[in-house]
Amino acid sequence: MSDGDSFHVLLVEDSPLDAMLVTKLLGSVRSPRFRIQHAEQLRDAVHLLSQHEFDVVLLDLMMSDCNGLEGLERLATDAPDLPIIVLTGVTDEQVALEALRSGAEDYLIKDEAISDSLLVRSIRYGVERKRAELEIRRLNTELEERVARRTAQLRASEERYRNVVEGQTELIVRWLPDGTHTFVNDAYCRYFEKTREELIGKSLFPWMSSDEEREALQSRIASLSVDNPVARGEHKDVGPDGETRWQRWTERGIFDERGILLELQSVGQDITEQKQTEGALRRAERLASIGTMAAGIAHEINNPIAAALNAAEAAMRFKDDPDAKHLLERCLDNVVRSAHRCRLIVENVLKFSRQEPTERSLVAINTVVRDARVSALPHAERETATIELQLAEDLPEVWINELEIEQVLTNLIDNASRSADGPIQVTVRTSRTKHGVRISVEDDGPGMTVEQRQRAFDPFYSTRQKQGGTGLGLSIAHGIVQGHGGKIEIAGEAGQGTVVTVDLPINADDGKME
Amino acid sequence: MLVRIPHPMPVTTSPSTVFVVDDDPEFRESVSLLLESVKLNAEVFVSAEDFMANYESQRGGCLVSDVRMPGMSGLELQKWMVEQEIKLPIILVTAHAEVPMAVEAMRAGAVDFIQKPYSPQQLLERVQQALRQDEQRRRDERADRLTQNLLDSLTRREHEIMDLLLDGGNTKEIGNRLSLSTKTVDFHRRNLLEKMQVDSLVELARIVRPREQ
Repeated sequence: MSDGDSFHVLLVEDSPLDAMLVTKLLGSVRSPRFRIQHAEQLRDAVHLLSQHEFDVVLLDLMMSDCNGLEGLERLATDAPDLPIIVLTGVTDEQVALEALRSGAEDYLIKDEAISDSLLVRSIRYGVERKRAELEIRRLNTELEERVARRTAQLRASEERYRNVVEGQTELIVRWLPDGTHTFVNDAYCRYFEKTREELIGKSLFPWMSSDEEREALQSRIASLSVDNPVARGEHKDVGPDGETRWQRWTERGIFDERGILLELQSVGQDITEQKQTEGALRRAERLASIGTMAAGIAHEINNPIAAALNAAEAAMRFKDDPDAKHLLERCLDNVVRSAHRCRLIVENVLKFSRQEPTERSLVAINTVVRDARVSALPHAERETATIELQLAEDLPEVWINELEIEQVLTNLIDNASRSADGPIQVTVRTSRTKHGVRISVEDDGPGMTVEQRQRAFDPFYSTRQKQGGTGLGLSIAHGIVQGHGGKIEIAGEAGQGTVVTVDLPINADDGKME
Repeated sequence: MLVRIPHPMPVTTSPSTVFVVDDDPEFRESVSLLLESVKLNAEVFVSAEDFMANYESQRGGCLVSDVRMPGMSGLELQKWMVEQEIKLPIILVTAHAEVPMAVEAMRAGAVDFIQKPYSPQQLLERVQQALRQDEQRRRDERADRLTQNLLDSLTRREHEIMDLLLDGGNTKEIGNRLSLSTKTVDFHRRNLLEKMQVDSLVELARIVRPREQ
């Protein structure tokens, strides 16, 4: 093809003289260079076109083997991308117009006036024009293809979107902040048993089941912002069968650039079944724990009840025997002690089952530790234990119920004091942690086995049942510490003493400790 | 309600004692007081190990032991007693209805099982029953010992003739069988009845034959 400085020209001309003239004319031009192939007849031209590539065709309209215009049309069909410049001896405006209409790029008249510069300019412009036209056509075609492709993609995406919105069980609705429905999907219509016409343009607030539900939704909308555009919540209503049903909703706010809430999109799911299962599970769990507790209480109370009955029965036999006075006293003393044991168990059970929120204040933990030591001391002395305190001075005050935490610590010190029959050393330490304070109670007793450690917090698990241990002390301690957002842990191997640590956050409401 | 105390048995054996093994101090004391209130001897032990260290064999009565105790359990104590051939009847006390355990204990020879909570009357009845059983056992044992002593005093010939007599043979048949004269057999017969301190063959059969079964 042409490189801009060289044109390959097909000259179709039946007059040898004219052909020579044109060849000579173009041959004399230095720039651009013209390489000319000459066809005397139209069919030669057609043949050459199929064999070579040309930049331009110069066509004589007055060919001997055909009508000039027909020849033009034939060539324009065979080589639609090739510019054709028509040469003729006839000065006929009509023919010239016909030729241009049939696809010729230009029209030149062979007479004395035809000069090399005119011919060159015409060829050059013809080629350029044709090239530009082809480029435009190519771009057009490409554009059309792209538009078609994008349209197909959009259609597929819309179809997908439609399938997503309509083809599933999620309830989807768009609505204005005043409650007016702007879009609902099929599932939404089916769920609420309304047609689209009944919903679109109407507010959803009036048919919410209660004022509370409405307020809950409104406060959720109020919480939405550009930075925090999503809110979740659960709602209930009464279904067509008169049964309460539950949905979980996710609301997404759509805001304008000034941050004003324009519209909301909500996606909901029916969770009635899940709610019912959860409820049943909770009831079952509660029953199971009541059962465990009842069995535990029965088991614990068996021994002291049996003892009291035996001693009372014996007392009735001794009462009329003047020689058995001291035996009668022993019986009554046994009854009293056994009954006290029962009372203690019941008291602990009540304490355990009570779950009242407790009053809290800012307290220095070292004070509580000292108080707990004083409470535990009488026991400790009987058990030949010594209690040492190692208290850090830089501790923050903690937001706790002082009496409850003291109860926990007293219990831990008691446990440590009784962990061995012989003398025992109990060390209570306080220290600062990232989120609050730590209290640890350490003893040099026999330690705990893995099983004992694992079961230590279970209600009614005790290693000192017969000594009046109720197995509730650590359960209660665990409950109290958890209630304060803290945690309690036991460390130590059998034979290596035991360390119980209690971690308390400065304020339980500032987030639970993990 | 008071328990009717059975009429004391004829004093043919040494006095019975109820051995009480339990790690719960109040419970242990209460059982001991209850037993004392019906004029029974009670001795208490804080653990199976305590009982094992302090029990003198040959002392009669019965054992009331808790099943679950720190250290050795009631069942382990029972096993030990079987090994030691201590025949004291055992009443095991349990807090739960533990059927498989009860079966195991019974198979090993426990006399009784009592489940908490029980009434004092129930315990006393079981104890009385166990004591009666133990006294019967000890009487039988003593009679056995006595009979054995008498048997040991017989000569081999007298023993031979006694067996044949108890099998129903008459003097003549025995004489033929042993190639002895009827007179000699009669002589031995009189002597062995005298040694066995009985007046007739029927009486002899009564003290000798039950042992052989």
